[in-house]
Amino acid sequence: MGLFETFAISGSGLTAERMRLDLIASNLANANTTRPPGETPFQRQLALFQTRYAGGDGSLGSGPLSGLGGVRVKQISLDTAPGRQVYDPSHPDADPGGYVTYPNVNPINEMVDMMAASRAYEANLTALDSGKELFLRALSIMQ
Amino acid sequence: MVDPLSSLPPLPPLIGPTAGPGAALAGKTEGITVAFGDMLQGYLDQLVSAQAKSNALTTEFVAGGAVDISQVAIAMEESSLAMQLLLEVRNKVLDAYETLLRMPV
Repeated sequence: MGLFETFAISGSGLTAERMRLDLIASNLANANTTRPPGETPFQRQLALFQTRYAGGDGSLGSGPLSGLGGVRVKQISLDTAPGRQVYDPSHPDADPGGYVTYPNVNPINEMVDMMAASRAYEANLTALDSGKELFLRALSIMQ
Repeated sequence: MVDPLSSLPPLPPLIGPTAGPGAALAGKTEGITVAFGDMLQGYLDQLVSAQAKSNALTTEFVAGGAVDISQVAIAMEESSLAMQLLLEVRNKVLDAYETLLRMPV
């Protein structure tokens, strides 16, 4: 619906930021998940955003509004940095040397990312509100 | 049931943006003429589809489907705003009609 272009764009931003928040929550929840030696430990997950064009499939449509389609999560990428090594021989998941590999999740980084994601969510909400406000103002012309 | 819009006498065509789905963008509409009844009918169809979408999303969300709450809220807001716009247009049309009725002859 052409009238509600703003809603669709901001809505895509809301969905994408929501997904980013979900990934951060998952990273935090798995910050202390260990795996037996030989298995890949949990890796920090990051959302990769991509501009969504009005064409739908990443292609540019024709017309002045062709670039306005919002954003979408292109893929979930994995942070391949090595995990944290902790010496704890009594741990069930310790390797023969007595070291346990913890995920490469740093809770402080995740908290900062979470603040950024929730502020971005709020920004999209504000844009949405503003679009609605403009629509209602325009309607009041007729009253 | 008689379609109330099709029983309207044909109005002189308006020049302006069409209201139908996939309406051409402003600036491209030069030369396009749409009867007011058709425009209203197109807008009504849009409103009905917006409300159907809102209903479907709400039902899916309440049933625990994979729908984001923001999508539900936006669909509800869209249908509500579309309804308000339609009401304003209707009020304007009725106002015009009543003004005509009050015209001394």
